Amino acid sequence: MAATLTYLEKLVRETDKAESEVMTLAFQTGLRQLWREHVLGHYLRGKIARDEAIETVGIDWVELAERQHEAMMEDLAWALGE
Amino acid sequence: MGTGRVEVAVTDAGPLIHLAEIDCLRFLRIFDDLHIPDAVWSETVGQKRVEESDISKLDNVQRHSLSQAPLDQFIQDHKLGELHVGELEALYLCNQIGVSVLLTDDLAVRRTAKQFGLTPVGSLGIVVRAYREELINLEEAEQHLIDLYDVSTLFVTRAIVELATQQLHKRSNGR
Repeated sequence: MAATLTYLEKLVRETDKAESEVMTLAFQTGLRQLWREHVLGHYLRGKIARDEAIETVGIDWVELAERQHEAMMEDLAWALGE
Repeated sequence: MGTGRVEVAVTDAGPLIHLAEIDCLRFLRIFDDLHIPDAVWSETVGQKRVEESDISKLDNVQRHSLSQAPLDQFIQDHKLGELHVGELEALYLCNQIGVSVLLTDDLAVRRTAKQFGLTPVGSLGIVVRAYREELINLEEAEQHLIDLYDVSTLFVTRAIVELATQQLHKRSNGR
């Protein structure tokens, strides 16, 4: 919480934006990130098709999620000696 | 379930930083020897992102100063110019001393490592291996995986951590 307040104070000071405007932007950015992660989670769990995920969050995020997923599966296989 | 200390590895900066951020640097004791090139040392201990005393406590770390000319030749021969110096030194060191496990959290480095026939392993893998070696229990492993997303600066989506946790539970139940 302390870090969040520090970020808010610094952003207000260094961007010359009103605190309410920074709060609005933070809300929008946070919501967009949550939505993106929600969509990518659905895609990686096979609940939506790749095309739908690409249409919703863009090819860059889908490819990144695929590469992270591949890395995670490789890590698990190594770690568990499979 | 545990198999004792396991392997020899070279590490780049990512796992050192991310494991330190979640207070799990001690998990690197699962390796018999952990090799750290000087550029990686500079990016971590040198920049105060990892405490030198925490590295010293591992008791398995070997630092390496690398000659610039052969490193430059290696980078040129393999067209690796887009990677950072610590990552380049880590790849080169694997090649030089015949170590097949490279610890890295960078997806581009993972890809390159595989092209060299190396096994890339990330922070997530090290946490899970610590569980397999019985340094921690399943609940602790799950919390540390969540911390990688919530606390560390590792760039990973929540979905990946949730899927990793699910897989860990599933595979643990199968043991």
